[in-house]
Amino acid sequence: MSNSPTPSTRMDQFVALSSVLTGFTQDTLAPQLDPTDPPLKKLYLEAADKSSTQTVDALLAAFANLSGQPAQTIANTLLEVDSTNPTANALMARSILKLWYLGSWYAPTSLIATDGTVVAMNAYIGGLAWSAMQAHPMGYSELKFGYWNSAPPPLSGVLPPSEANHG
Amino acid sequence: MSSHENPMRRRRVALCAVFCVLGVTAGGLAGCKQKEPTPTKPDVPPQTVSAPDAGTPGVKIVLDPTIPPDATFGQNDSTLAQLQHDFDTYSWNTFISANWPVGADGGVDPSQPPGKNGDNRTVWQGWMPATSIFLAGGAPPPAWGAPPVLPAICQGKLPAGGRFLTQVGKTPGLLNESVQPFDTGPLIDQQGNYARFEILVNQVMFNQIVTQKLYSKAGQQAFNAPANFNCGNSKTGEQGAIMVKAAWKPLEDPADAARFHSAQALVYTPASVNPKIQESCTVRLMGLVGLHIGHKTSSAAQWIWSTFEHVDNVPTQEQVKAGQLASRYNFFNPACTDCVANQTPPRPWDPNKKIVVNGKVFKSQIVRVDVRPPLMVDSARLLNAEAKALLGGVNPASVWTNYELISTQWPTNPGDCAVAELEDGSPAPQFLANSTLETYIQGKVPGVSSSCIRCHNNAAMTTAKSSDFTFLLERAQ
Amino acid sequence: MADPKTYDVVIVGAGIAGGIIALELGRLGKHVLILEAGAPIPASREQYMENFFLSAAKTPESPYPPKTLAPAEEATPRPTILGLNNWKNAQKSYLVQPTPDPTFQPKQLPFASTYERIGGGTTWHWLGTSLRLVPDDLVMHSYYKAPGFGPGTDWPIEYSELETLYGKAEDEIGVSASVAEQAPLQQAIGLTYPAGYQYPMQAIPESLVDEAISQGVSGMSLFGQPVFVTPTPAGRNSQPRANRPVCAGNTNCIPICPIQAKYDATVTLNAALNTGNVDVQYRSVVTRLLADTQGRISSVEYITYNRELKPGPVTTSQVSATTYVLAAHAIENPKILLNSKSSAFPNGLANSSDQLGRNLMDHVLYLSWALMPEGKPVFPYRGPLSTSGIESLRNGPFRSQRAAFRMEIGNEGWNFPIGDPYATVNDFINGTNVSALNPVTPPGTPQPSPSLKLGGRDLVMALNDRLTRQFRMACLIEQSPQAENRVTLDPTLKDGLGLPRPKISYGFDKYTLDGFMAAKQASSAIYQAMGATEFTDYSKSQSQPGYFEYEGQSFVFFGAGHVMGTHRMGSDPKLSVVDANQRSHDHENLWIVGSGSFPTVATPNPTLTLAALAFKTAASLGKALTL
Repeated sequence: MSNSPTPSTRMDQFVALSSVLTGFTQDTLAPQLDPTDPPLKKLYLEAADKSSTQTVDALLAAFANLSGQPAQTIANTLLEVDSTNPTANALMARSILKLWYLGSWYAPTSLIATDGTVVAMNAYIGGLAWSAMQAHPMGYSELKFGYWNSAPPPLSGVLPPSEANHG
Repeated sequence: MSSHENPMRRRRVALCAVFCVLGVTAGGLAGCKQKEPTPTKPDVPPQTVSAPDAGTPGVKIVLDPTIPPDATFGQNDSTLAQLQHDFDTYSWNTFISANWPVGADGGVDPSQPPGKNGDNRTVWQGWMPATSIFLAGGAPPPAWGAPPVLPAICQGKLPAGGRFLTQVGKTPGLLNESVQPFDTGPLIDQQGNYARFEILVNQVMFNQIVTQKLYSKAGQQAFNAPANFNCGNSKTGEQGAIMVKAAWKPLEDPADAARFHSAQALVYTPASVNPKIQESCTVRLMGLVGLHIGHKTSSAAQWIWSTFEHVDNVPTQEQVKAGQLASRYNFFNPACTDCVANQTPPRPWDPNKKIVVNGKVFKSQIVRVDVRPPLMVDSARLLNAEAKALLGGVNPASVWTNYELISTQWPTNPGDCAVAELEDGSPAPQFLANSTLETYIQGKVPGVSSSCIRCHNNAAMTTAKSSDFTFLLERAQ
Repeated sequence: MADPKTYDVVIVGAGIAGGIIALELGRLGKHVLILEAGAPIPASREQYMENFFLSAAKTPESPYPPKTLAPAEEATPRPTILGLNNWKNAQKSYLVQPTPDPTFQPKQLPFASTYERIGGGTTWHWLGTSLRLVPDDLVMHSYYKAPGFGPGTDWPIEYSELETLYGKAEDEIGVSASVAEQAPLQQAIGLTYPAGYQYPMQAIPESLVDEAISQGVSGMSLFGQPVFVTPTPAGRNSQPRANRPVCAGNTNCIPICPIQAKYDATVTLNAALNTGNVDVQYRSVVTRLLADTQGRISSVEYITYNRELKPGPVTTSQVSATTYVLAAHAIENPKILLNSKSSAFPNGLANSSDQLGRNLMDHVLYLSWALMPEGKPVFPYRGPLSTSGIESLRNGPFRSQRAAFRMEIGNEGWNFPIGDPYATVNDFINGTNVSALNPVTPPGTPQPSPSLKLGGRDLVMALNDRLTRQFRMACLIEQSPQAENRVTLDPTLKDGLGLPRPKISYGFDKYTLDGFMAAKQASSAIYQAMGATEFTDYSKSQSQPGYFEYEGQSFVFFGAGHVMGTHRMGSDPKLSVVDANQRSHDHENLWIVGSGSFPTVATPNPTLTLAALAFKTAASLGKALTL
């Protein structure tokens, strides 16, 4: 496809898209120094491509077209949050979003929470849902004895700087 | 100085995060948006690059008796591969300086690099062994430099400059493997003998343990806080806390000594009720097979973990599969067709005796499960070749050419070294095992397979307070 | 093949009970052989953890082999949650469950608890809860005259003796607790300790969930009892001990502690092997015991296999010893004994009382869940799965009428109730409302609006708000002993080795159900007192295995994993299977051990008590072998 992003930037586009969809910084999703082998971004783009490369390309193109808009607006548009009849693009966006949050791939048609397939051990422990609730993956903690007796550090650092009020 | 490009950029991000409070308070992140974090101290020391070599200016292996206070980074190094190269270079420089010959007066002569006059007694061998720090009844340890505290049965047996080795398992005391999630077993060489281990600390770490009275249970209770050891600092040149863990095997045939750094050692086996073991203490010629060096530094609050092995230890899984085997190994028998790889020996484990199974002496059949990502493999290979050339240049027959770096584990997102109780800091490589020290957990399962930082971050004092990545403090009585 | 050497004792089962007995006898210099049906203790827990991480459904059995739902093809099939979800299909469920019959509700229910058949047994996925019985728990018949509790249900052991045994068990397990923190339970329910007793390790700190409930119930009383929160004694390290690290709060005691800060029976088994007097043979499934004409057990027959699935050619062997211990589990023990029937013993061995396999009990689990008020997060999904409970309702005069219960406070949000965070995350992305947290009209919205579909920062904030306010409680209800609740052998269905599979008959009587109703009432009252919004809802749960209706209301019960009662102890051989030493009344060289020996179940999780009884059994065996 002549208008699809070139391979070297396609991954960058995917990470940028993922950041907007998830609400987490690109550096959280794909750190500049990333010892995870293979990196989650690679596993996740592969999982999405395996479902439909064409839809992933279309989604990336739609994302590129929205460049310059506030992140929340882009996320809402691509996820079609107000639609009762989402397009293939939006369903793909939602699967990618679930993948980052839960480390599991859900077929774009799935509406069932137990339908996911764990993509990799690192995907499970890298799930953003755990960060969103200021906790750690069940079965994987880097914290110290007794930490549960105190409130967690504030939810911060993992989200991009706040944009203009997005309601 | 190109501090904006510095490889520890992510650490700054993490520091910034502390100020960003997000919750029900609207706009809690606004204050962070444009705020340029204030570096509390430089992460990377100014480089005084005199003779840049190809690729990484100023970062190379040198024959220098000074243990580096921290890793040194190339000015523009920012990728995982570049930084791994820098940390691996640090590891070799630390290995060389820690193994520098010690003269009769206890000092080091910069003109006498390791191996120059054959095998040599090393700097780290003069450090304080854990067995002399955590004493019965929580008694204070002897002064730095004092001879090791010996059990009665060993007294008078220690050869001049000899070692004192006690451990069979990975951690304190006999058959004592608290670090590993399983009560994992001993490592048995091809003669049926148990490998032995020792842990020593440098003077910085020793002084801190003594000053803060962390050597006793009572002292730890009074301290009542997480431990927080000193950080090495390139700017000031100060060393941080350093721990060395060494694995040795008996050299039954003295002729084998030519390939090992060796030492006459007191091999002590404490008495035990279950399993029933008799106390013993014998003098044996031991060869070094594995060496961990952990150093807490400003660029690595989770410590830098360098691990070395003797080149004859074990083959890799791939080599076994391909049939590309050497004629002999320290912990693998190439001729055995029905030996199960990486199996623990049957209990009970009594280091005084060889284990006999079905009439045959049990020998560990250990294979390296190499889970290092390619860039770590490449970096270690490159630097191992460089180091071998350098050490072989000193003396072609040097025993030190028979050791190789497996890799260096370091935190990619370390946080502030002055802060206690940090998380793991996303270590690179994610997993790292020494086949003589983490023999039975060499896989790549997060939180379980060998990762120096992940595992040691669970270490605690007797009070359950964090012990800052060392399992030593739980030995306090 | 077993070592031809002479054994003093053969123990069937390498779990905590078998492990303790092996260790104690090995220390005495007795020669012990353990036959374990399942896989060996692995050299590291990497494979089990990998299984766990990669499982879509992180059920208690998820780390452990086998992974199939084909009991007819497995060498050691066992009850699993996935099997329970298919309980009506005996091709998938190892337990041949009762035929559901709506007219008999709430009888003919599935037995909902699971266990493991591997080296180390089910302690691999126990929670670690190590509560003691209280003295009144031993005398439900003679003291409370509770309906359905016949004369065979008083425990044949004095509490003072049990107290001493608890001390040994707490030392072996390594229990963390503070006697001072437990002290309020003395007045409330009669829990006492010997003077000067201290637990092996300091208490485990309470969670923020515990503290919120503790504040919420301050000053409250129910059923004439005070309501207060007590930190739970637990077999988890609160200090480095026994070569294991301190608990790091991985929130994963069930299904597996990644760092072995939680005790499991592999610790005791390894200690037993260290004595040098204990051999263990894995993948050795005992089929039956053989008895001579005098009723002495003469040998054990067992099958060894190499492959878990479709075992193929197997070997059948026999081994003899002076004494025998069945420590295979409360369902497997009667299975073996029933399968040992012969012309001399047509009802199976150890069954002259006809009590073998009967009185199958569990702690019937009532699960409820709630959300803290907005702006009052309790930060769940952190710390050990449970750190505290409400124990003050475990004993009282009401036990003459209905079952008692304890309330376990969960630190894992709504993971148990609805499978979170998966359900809620999916809801807020899909615009669905499985969690009930994403309703069509959110509370406080002036106009009806559809369930939210979110992304970006909106999603983070919505999830953070909901998930950090979740908590749950689980009531463990004392089930009464019922002769018709029993394990028998299915006449036709076999496992992969050709052994008959356990057939279950199970249901609740009024005593138990009224306890269940009281548990529901107490849970709701506590949520209300806290100002929390309760979300417990079983009205649409008809397809769940534990669904039943009582007094016009819909309920789901869960299994607690506490399988008890099937070879109960007692002083009267006509009413019980074993004596106070867990020695068979019928066969003088046979001991049958584990929670199957409990004549009544009270409310504490059974592991500590069965471990304590194992020490008593070991002493009695040691004595018998010395005579």
